[in-house]
Amino acid sequence: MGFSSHAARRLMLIVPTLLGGSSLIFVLTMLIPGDPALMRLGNFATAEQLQSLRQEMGLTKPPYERYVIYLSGLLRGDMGRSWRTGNLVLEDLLARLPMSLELGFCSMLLAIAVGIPAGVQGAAHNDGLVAYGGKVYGILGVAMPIFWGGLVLVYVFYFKLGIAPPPTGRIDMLVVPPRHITGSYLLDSLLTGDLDVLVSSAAHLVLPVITLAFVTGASIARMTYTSMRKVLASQFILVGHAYGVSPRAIIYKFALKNALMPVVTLIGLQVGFLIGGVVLVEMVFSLPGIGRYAVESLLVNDFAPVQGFVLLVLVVYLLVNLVVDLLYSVLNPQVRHG
Amino acid sequence: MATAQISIPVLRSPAPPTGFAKQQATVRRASAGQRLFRLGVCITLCWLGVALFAPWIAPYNPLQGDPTLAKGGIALAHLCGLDKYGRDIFSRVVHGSRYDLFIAVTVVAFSLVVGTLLGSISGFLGGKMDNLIMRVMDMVLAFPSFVLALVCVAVFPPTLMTLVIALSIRFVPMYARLIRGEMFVEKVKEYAVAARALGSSQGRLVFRHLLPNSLTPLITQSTTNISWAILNAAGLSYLGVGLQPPTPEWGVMISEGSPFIVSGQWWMSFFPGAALILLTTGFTLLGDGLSARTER
Amino acid sequence: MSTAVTRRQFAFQTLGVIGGTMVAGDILPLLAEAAKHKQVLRVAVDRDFETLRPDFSAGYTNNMLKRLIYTTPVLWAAKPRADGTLTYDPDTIEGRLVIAYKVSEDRQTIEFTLRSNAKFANGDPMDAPALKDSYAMHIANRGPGASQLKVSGLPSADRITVLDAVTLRLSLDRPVAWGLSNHGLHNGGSVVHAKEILKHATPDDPTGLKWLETRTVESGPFIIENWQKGAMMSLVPNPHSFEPSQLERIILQIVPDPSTRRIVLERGDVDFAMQISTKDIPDLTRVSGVKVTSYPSARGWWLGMTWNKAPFNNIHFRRAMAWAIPYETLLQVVAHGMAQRLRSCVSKNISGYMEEFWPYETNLEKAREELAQVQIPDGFAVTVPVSAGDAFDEESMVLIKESLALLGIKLTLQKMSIGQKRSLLVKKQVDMAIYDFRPFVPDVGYYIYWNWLPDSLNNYWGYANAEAQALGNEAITMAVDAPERHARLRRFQEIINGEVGTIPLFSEFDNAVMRAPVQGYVSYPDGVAFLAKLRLE
Repeated sequence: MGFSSHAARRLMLIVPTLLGGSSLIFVLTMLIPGDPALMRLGNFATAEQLQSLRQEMGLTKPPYERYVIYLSGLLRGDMGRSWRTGNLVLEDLLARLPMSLELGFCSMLLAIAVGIPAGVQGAAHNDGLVAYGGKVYGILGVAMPIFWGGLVLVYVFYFKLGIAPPPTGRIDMLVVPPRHITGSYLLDSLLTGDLDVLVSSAAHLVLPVITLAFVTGASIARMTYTSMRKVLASQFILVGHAYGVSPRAIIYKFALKNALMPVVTLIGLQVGFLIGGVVLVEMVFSLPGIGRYAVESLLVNDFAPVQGFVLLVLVVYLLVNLVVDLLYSVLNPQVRHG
Repeated sequence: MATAQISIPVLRSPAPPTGFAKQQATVRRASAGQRLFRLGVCITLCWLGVALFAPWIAPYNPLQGDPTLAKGGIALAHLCGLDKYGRDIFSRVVHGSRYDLFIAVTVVAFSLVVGTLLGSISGFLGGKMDNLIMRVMDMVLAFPSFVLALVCVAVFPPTLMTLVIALSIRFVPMYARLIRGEMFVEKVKEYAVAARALGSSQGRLVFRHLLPNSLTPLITQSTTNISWAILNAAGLSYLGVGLQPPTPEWGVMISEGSPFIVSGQWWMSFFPGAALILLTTGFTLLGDGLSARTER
Repeated sequence: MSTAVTRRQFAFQTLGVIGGTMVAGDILPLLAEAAKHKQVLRVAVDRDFETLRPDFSAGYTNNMLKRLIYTTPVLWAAKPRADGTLTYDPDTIEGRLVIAYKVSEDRQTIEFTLRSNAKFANGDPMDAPALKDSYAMHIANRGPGASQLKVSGLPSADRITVLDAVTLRLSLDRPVAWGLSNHGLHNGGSVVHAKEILKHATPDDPTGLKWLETRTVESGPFIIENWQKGAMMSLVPNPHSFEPSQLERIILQIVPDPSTRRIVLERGDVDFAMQISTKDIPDLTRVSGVKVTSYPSARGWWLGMTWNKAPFNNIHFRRAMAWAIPYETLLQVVAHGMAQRLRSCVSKNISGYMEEFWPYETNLEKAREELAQVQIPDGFAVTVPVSAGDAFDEESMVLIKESLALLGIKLTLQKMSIGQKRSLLVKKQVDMAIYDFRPFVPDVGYYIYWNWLPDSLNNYWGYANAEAQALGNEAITMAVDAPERHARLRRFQEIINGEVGTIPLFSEFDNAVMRAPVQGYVSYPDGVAFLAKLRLE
């Protein structure tokens, strides 16, 4: 089956998945107890106000009607409005998405750059500090709580040593952010030639990226390690070796390609996590990402952002994993797409 | 792909270049692997013991503290210091092993069973069934674990079981996907083809032949998932939701102790974290050893 | 302060800019040298600013912003305490937009004389008609702003008469004990440019309120220069404001994690930090370069129990609970010493609070005696909702749970979001829980209105006592120093505390945390900082 038709099929399947996912989150958030109107009014509310606000917010409509309103809004590209920020949800998300993408992408790069070699070294060699370190990293890294790691890094490198910049956001407080082109400060400052801004935003990304990459890289390392070991023990590797192929070639040309399949799967899974699941890192480092936005809204019963957020993450995730799926066939031509 | 007739010249390979110690010192390697596996078994059994005998091992009541000693540091009477309510951290870590072992086992059991089932069906049957199941799995996977867990904990009664299932749902698709991926590879290998040619029924084929060979990444993933589940529970506690106080679960302790890092009381989050690492290491070594064995 | 990156002149950003609030580009102060921007105040806040609508309550951070961008007719004057720090003067109301006021004998007619030539940030006159329109808009929006005005005697806009360009008459439907105080609050008192807001009405947004969520025309000492949602906001002085500030710029940086907020203050990367965890306050008092000022406040914490069920409605059970609470432990461990004992069903540190009717201290013996007189069903267990992320709530309940366990009473704590818990409370579905309340107006009558009357939304426990509630109601309208009011409030507290209407736990301090060079902080009864009054030394 060719790439393009397979890709086209997968793309078409994205729509029902999005439909299912957005409906699921809608139903779930509707089931959450707690009155959004009450949250909005705060401590100084009267019963009549509550009633009229509930009506204004559309909370008194029957569930089915609210679902239809929600869906028809989605089809028009309207994700509703967050009463917490006062903005349209779509605007809010798009404003914060570049930050999350920037953080996620950089973290994933670092995680792959560290994790795969660590796993490969650990699997291919039995002694040596690097190999040993790789194995230990794989075990320890997955056991570290992300927010704890972030706090420790902040405490040591910012508070005690003063090396890192203050964890007050994407950029130094008194520095003007770059002109908005993509939304990513790194890219925009590169494109506009703003070197100070580039340095400031890169500096502010260092600790959060290390925190995230540490954990993600560890699980990539582990998966690479296990997968490599299995492949290295397999028959065709031994045959290759028996035929005198050099060990470097064995590792990197033959074994790695085959070992990478579960690793690639894992990377695909991680991407969704890195974009939407790093709320705690965003909190510790004061980064305005989409995860924090959704969680903060959820905690005050503001559900439209949560619904929009899930939809957005679904889209990003599905696209990324489409790529992953196509990589399967590159890595292992034996795999048949059913 | 070589045919099945080649006998594996494991022990009689020509002198390998440096770096390929695996083929040279197989005996040495085998026993190193054995040692690690035994270490894993040891650690896991130790924790099981701690969990079983917690009330006898812990010197203090994990739920009651002496507020006058709140935030106290490490001392002879309190080997791991005290938490913000003045409760002995050592006792809480000991009792916490019960919760975390429970979480570990339940998370793996639940997601393993459900995920493997779905993944096997999907990978083996292929076609429309595969598509449907994978779309549903994609949907579940794409939900960021936090929001899903947060929402589940908000909607359903907040017991330990609810929390664990809320966290496990997130792992089901992982297993399903891995199994499915392995299925695609395995089902075209000769032994599978051979077995089918010999008339093995599909069900038998899946469970007796294909599944054991797909176990390796599955086991690896399980051990990773255990620590993720506990850490996600900790993350939920950090946001303020999740397990109910005053449960001495390690994740809760880590999240309660983290705000005290900046005020210098590092022990509050360190010891439960160390315990978590030890437990995960035990499981990991165990898992790695098991998967090494099943490869034979 | 970081010196690694050069500072630049702030400019409009294409993302999230508030349009229409700048007067002219040349007003922007130039950030030239480090010495020149000594008067830049960097503030770490805990959350985003949410809405710019003043009539909706949205937490201390948002309220702090409102106090900066909107002026009010009046505000409490400041007076020094013994240690030189400034607090509000409950007896003196100062004019802001209003320069003089007259109150009739029956306290039901108030006449405001506004300053002439006051202007909004866009140059439009802030005169009596504008003030009336502002009140009218709050009332029409039926939010907390409208309720505050209604409690204080202004339920409808037709009670406001414009006498001339600078004179406004308010004809209250009842006098209130706290007089003009509520006109200093930001919910009902913020002066908004109602005409301008209506100009932005669309069919989708007939009141223009959606526009007001993120855009506004300021009336206060500062205007919004730059707002990056979720990240930061910078403000510069309003050129048309009649309240000059010594600050050239205020930068509000969102730093959500409390630990991070603390250390950026300690290291000096911000000058003022909001919502510092109470547990960090004692440490910060010992950090050189940081100063912490604690003010007794009216924010109280109580443990409530339902009146609609046995055994909670049994007086012996309630007394047993009152004897069982570990009051001192709560003060030390939960509040870290940053609170006072509270001994009534109303807030402390406000006029009308009386302590003499609460005799209970921690005494498990007496608790047992009382409990022995109650029929407790077997397997009796209480589910207590606890606000997630609220340290006072959670930690207090954990300690109370321990104490009650010693009496054989089992509590099951259930953490949930604040919204969920409040919904349950309002629906009166909770048997026992901790709640807090701060009356923005420092008066017991104001407290009673919101919490103790039969139809108070915050009367979570179904309390009903005709005599007490009638007395409380009457006390709302009487003059604050009238002896008959004092008698009524006395009897009110005697009754309610006598039957253990609620169990007072503690009254927390307002802690202002800032770096040493920051001067001029005034503590207001609503706990909201007024940053415009600060300066850096």
